Amino acid sequence: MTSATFTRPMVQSCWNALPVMAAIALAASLAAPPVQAQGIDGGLIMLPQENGANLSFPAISSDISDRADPARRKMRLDDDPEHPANTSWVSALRLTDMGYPVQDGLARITGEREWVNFDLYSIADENDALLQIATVSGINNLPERSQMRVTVNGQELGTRNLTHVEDVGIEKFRIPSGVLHTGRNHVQLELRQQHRIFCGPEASYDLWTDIDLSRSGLVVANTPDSELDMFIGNDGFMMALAAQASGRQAVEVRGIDSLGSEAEIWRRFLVSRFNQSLAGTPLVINFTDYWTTQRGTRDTARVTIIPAAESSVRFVRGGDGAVVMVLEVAQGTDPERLLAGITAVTAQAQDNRPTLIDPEMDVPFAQFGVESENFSQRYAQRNHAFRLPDDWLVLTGAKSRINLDYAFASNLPAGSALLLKVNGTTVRMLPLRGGQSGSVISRFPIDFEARLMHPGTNVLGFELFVPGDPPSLPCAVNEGPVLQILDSSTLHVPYSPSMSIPDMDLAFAALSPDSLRMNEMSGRAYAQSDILTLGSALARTPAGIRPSTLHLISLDDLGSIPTAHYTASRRLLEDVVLMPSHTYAPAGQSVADNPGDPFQQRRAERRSVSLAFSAGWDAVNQRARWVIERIFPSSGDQLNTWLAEQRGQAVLFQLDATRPDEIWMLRAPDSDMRAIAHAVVRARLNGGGPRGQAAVLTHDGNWENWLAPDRRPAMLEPWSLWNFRVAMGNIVSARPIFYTLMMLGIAALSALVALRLVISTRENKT
Amino acid sequence: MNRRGFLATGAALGATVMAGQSSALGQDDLSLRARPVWESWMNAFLRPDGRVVDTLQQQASHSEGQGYGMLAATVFNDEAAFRQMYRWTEQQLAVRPDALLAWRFLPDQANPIPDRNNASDGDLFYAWALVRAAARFNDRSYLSRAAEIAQALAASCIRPMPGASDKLVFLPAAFGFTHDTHLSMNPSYYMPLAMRDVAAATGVTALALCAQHGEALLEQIARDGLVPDWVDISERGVVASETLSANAGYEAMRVPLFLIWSRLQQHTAVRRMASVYERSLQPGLGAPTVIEPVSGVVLETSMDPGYQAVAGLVVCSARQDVGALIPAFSAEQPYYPATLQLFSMFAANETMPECVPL
Repeated sequence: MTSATFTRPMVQSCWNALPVMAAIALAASLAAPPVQAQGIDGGLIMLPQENGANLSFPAISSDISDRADPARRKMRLDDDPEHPANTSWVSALRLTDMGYPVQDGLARITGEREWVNFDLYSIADENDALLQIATVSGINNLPERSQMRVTVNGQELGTRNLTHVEDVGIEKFRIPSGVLHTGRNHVQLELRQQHRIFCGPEASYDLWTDIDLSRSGLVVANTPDSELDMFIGNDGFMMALAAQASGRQAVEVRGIDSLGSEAEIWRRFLVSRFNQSLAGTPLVINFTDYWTTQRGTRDTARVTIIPAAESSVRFVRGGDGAVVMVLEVAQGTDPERLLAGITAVTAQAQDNRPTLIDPEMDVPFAQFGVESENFSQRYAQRNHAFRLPDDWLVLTGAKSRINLDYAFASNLPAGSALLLKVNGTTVRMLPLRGGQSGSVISRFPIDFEARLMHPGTNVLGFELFVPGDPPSLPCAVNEGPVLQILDSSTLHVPYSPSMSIPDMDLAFAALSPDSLRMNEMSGRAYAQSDILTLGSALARTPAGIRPSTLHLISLDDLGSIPTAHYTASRRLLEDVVLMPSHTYAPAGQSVADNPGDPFQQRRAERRSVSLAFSAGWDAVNQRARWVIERIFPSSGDQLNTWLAEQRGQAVLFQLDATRPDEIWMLRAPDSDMRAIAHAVVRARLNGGGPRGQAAVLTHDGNWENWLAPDRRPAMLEPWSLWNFRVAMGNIVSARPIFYTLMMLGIAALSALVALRLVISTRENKT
Repeated sequence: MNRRGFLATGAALGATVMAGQSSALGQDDLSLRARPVWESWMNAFLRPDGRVVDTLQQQASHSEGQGYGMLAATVFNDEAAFRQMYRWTEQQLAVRPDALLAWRFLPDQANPIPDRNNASDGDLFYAWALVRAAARFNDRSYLSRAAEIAQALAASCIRPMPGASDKLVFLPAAFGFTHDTHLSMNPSYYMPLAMRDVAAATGVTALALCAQHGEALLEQIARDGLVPDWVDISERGVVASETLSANAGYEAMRVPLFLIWSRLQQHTAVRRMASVYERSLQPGLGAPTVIEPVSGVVLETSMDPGYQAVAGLVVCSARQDVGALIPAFSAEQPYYPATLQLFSMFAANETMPECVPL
């Protein structure tokens, strides 16, 4: 820049004959007349700030290289190692067994030997494929003796030691061509884990491996290759959908609002259909506009809806590389019909409810999904869900019977046992020692009280304990099976007249996405995404039993929960979802914590005496209260007492027995709806869900239930000689002390009347 | 489904078909539906004082960026953001003796404006934003400033085309692009819709005429290949620049975008670029950014979604598709592709509503 340049009149470079051209322009005229006023009055022209551009320096530069530099717009991201141009993605494994806890996309597998089943979507071709499994194991695992064996569609791919202890590591397995088939494939991981120091049930319980579901699956190379086109289709979409739904990602559905009044129909349909077509944790679906911002990671699958004159389904690769299902929807299109030809998104059978078994007959275990299993672990737990008819009810002392076919190894250490549980209650402990070891024991009878079971979903559990021998050393290698349970074992459930008792279990099982009800205050506690997430969970299992309703209630709206004759303290209710979990200090901890205090022991002892007295008084009080509550079970204090002990992420209520198909739900403000949704799915598939009149979903994902003591059974069939005894037994058994005292009272009253009659007839009438 | 079928639906989306500057319906709709996109762009590139920052170029600001940002603010009905950008621009870039803006502001320098030359595309978009703001925010005072700029542009940057004195050419700046033997011209500075709108609102008809001649000039250039970043115009005709970038690169990629926005979807320049994009576009893997104009060989690609968005819109527009390969907006990308992505959205919404991102 020179001073000459600076002083050059600016107009020198301009064309001085412009007025002539303007006239030409006017002659040419514009296609459209000016639509704006042309006045320039009132213009807002701000003067440059004094500290702004330095007026003494600016000049006009003759150097236009900066302006015209072709590299000045050059991109940056291609050089950024965090944004590699060619990234592969993983068509993630879908965990089909909901019994394993999943948190933040990690499925935790605990125990010495477990078989974990997954779905894997694939497109078969003549090339080998690559399966990767991402794991991290606990510090107690001995890597040299902890292994993972992988099979795909029954063919073993290989075995790897579980060596990744501190961070998630990836193991890769080559899948030979011909093993995978197009569509859904079955992958099974067999995990064998061994404690590095100890042996026994406790050591077994300390063994765990987390599987990172979002990073485990079929590796799909995202290269500029014509082979990419093979993923643009029905099955490729399912592969990409599995990848999209892994971890904590939502599946985006664009443009549903363009369907106008039909949007809601489609919204419900898509939530249900995609959740029924893909096993595993519920899909979270995010309905968006067409114009969106990119989330953390790039999408691999998406659905885009476009209004059209004719309905059709096609698959394309989106601008970001995602496999997109494009739904062109004409007005009045039936969603079911449009997707009827898309086999990938048909409902899967494995999401059906547990098997219904009939009372009064010996039902083989195999009939409700219990397969013969050999146990070689020191500790194992198996839960098998089954269903009883909705109108089955036994509250009496009637017995159910398991005829168990099993065998156990000889010379097992002392203390080896098998616990049989029904709905979490141990009904029998079978010692695994004795003369019959080594051979199959057929039809070993185990009777238990049928009232441990209830209508709807029940859980039959086995828990195996085999102490270490010795427990202070690692277990021996290549131990053989210690226990075998055969699927020929049977379960017999006694007769019940058609009866019912107030319980939210049946309404919970019947919930569907259409069941969700919100009022004007629900929005304070439930975002739209929460409702969609919950709807996704409820869509997992086809309901179709009877319509039921789930009212979503906010903390400000507790008054809308019908409580019938029960009294639920508002403060206690708030505490359940607002206060952190109870923490209990181990006994004697205070002494150990301050070893330097010479008087602490004595103070603790003195306090122990007073504590013992106080505890005794409390026990007497508690017992007395228990008796009173049994006599007068309608007291609302029991619910409050129970609530005071609860902490959780959600509470379900069904206190009004006159509204058996409705449940009210309250959630903790900081709760994660995905965790709640996962717990709902688990409970509906595996049992152990909410029951009774109030249920709390604890922070560790379990349900704590409160069953009102004054529940009254109702007869659903005509009384007859055939059902009278059992039905009356149920009615009396529901409130035994009450009816006993009532009968005593009637007897006493009768005695008094009789006595008065006797006395009156013997009075000397003079 | 073809475009006709889409248009026949009459569903809610169809309401945006007629969107455009004159149709507040479509814009109002977009200002609500795509609000997160605008907020994301502002968070990334707009400082609280109203300065639009080009993060890739020394955190500099340009009259182009200010004009682009202000135009976007009118689309999103964000008067506060518009006024911020307007105020900053007037205070910092309106330092020339005429009504035009200095083309660049370099922060943290003793002299933040070392070059008072203007950029005619920046001035044009600035004036266009003011014209739209006058209608959008019902404030006629913006029109007077737009008229001053339009008049200054006509006076300083529009001149007869060498070899065709009955035609006008739009110079990149008031200074520096006129040579003894030829003119250097940047085809991407032509934004026909903006030129016509400003001309209509201000009465500076030279701009409209320039738009008309510019379309013909682009047609002429596109007959031989892709429109390059820079061309030389002399008495002998129009040739690719001998001294500046002759590739179809980061500058020229705006040509088809602006033509589509101007409802010239079947312009040869659009169809030529569409054919290259169709052949070389790899969704999720990169969009062509620098192309040899005659052979169509792709010299550079970029993963930035903004470039992919332009490519997706161009292909959709040329093929009359329903649904475009336009990715979601990302503020992780630099200012330039991010802003082009906004423009792709505006262009699609106003002229090709069927080109929704798939």
